[in-house]
Amino acid sequence: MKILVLNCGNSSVKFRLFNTEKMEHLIGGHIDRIGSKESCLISQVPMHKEKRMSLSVKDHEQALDIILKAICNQEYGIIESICDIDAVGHRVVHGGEAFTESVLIDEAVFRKIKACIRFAPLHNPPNIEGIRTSLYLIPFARQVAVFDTAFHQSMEDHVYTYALPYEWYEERGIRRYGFHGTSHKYVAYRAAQMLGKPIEELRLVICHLGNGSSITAVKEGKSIETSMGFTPLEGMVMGTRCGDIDPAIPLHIMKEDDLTPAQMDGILNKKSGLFGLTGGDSNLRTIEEKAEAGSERHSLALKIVTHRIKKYIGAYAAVLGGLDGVVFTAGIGEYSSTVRRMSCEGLSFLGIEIDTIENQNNETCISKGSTPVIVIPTNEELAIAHEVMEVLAKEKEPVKIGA
Amino acid sequence: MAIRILIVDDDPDFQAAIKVILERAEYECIQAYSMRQGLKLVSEESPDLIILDIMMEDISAGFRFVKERLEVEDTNAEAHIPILFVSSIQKFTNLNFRDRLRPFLFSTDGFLDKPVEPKDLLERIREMTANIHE
Repeated sequence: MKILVLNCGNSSVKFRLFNTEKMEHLIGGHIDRIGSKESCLISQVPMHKEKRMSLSVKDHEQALDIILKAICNQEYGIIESICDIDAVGHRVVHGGEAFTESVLIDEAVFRKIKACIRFAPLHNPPNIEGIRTSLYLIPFARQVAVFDTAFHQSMEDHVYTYALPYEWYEERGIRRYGFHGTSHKYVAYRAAQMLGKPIEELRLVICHLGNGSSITAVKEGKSIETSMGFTPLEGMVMGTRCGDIDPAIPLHIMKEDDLTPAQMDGILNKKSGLFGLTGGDSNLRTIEEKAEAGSERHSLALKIVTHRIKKYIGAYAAVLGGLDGVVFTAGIGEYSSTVRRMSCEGLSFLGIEIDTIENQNNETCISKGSTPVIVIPTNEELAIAHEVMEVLAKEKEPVKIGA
Repeated sequence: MAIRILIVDDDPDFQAAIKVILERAEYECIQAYSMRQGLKLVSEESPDLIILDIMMEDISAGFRFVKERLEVEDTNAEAHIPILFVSSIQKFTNLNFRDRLRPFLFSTDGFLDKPVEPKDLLERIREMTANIHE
């Protein structure tokens, strides 16, 4: 079976085609700067050189059309035609409370995803455009939605409810949803495999640390608590997002500087976090280098980021009632030995002790204490392909209605 | 002998309404409520025409019905049963599927948007079945 995974952003489409027999990827890549005359298709077939093509791409439909032509390119002989694609897996950022798992898209599902635009006005529209466009250009394939929020729907009400007027939850859906769910789930199951234990017996803290970061407490394979909330702004200190703050601060600044909600939203999402702390650097590698070179502000930024991670690991160990493993994943989690070391310092009372050499070498298992600390590369596209396979395996003949 | 029409649509109200219209016009109706049930009935009942919805058990179910039929008909061209799409997908997605599907369909196939006027439906069926049982 051939599964195409699509991740449609506002001005980009990422894609990866999988052959499920060996779960190998056949081609992958992305188109950036959709809507401009300076778009670029980057595609790569394993064992071949990456290809770059400059193009003018006006919208997502044209972008997917270009991607499909690259996939059906006879030079590589990957697939002959779009008819060979059995299913398309779509990353959908927000599924609200409507979706607790990945689903085959039907008319009702499509409507519900549209209804979730109010929760993710920037992210869900391009995801929906991806589904619509894919239905048009790959009409014979099944379309499957895989939600960032679905894995966290297992959180209990006392975990996801904010201490705000309760009607806000009832009438407007204001609650904690959590994000990066596909990655957290995939990494949790990989961790169970690596630890050689059934996931049902494990209490894990998964630290997904990238440009956007979140930490999840996973108990018996289910998310019981996660750091992102109603939006991806809550929780960790991120590249440009502030994470947890006193909610009175933005109100205070808005009043003093006469700022609009949109302006404050821009500051909290795009000008805060590492970027705000350092005065313009959001890349962790740069921050580490400048901290090492003596910049106090960069050094402070590193301490703030890792203190927040440590605080969450401790809190989630309490929520889980113990720890069977801590996992680091995503860009920073996989490559920054400094962040891992600083985040785990002083946690030996939880059995967390980092082996300096293994950590510096980016080994898989980096702990020497009783609680395993492991580094697992996340693979969101592969995780989505797995979700699609699960959904298709569950497909059953619907009950006959009427005559 | 009455012309036999297979209606493949997951909407029981639509099914009931179309059945009444077709039977009044002296067509014989066979009903399927899903793509897979439809495919089963095509091979069991050999209808003269298929009225096909698109968004059924999933959003592309009708398209996959066509794909499966094309695979059968590819090895046996005489097995082609004309398909009349009756769907709201164009309105729902604001996309022109009539043109999109053209390369995959036979010239004898057709496309009508829901909601469909009984008069338009019957006229189209008459055109598409004009050569049957001659």
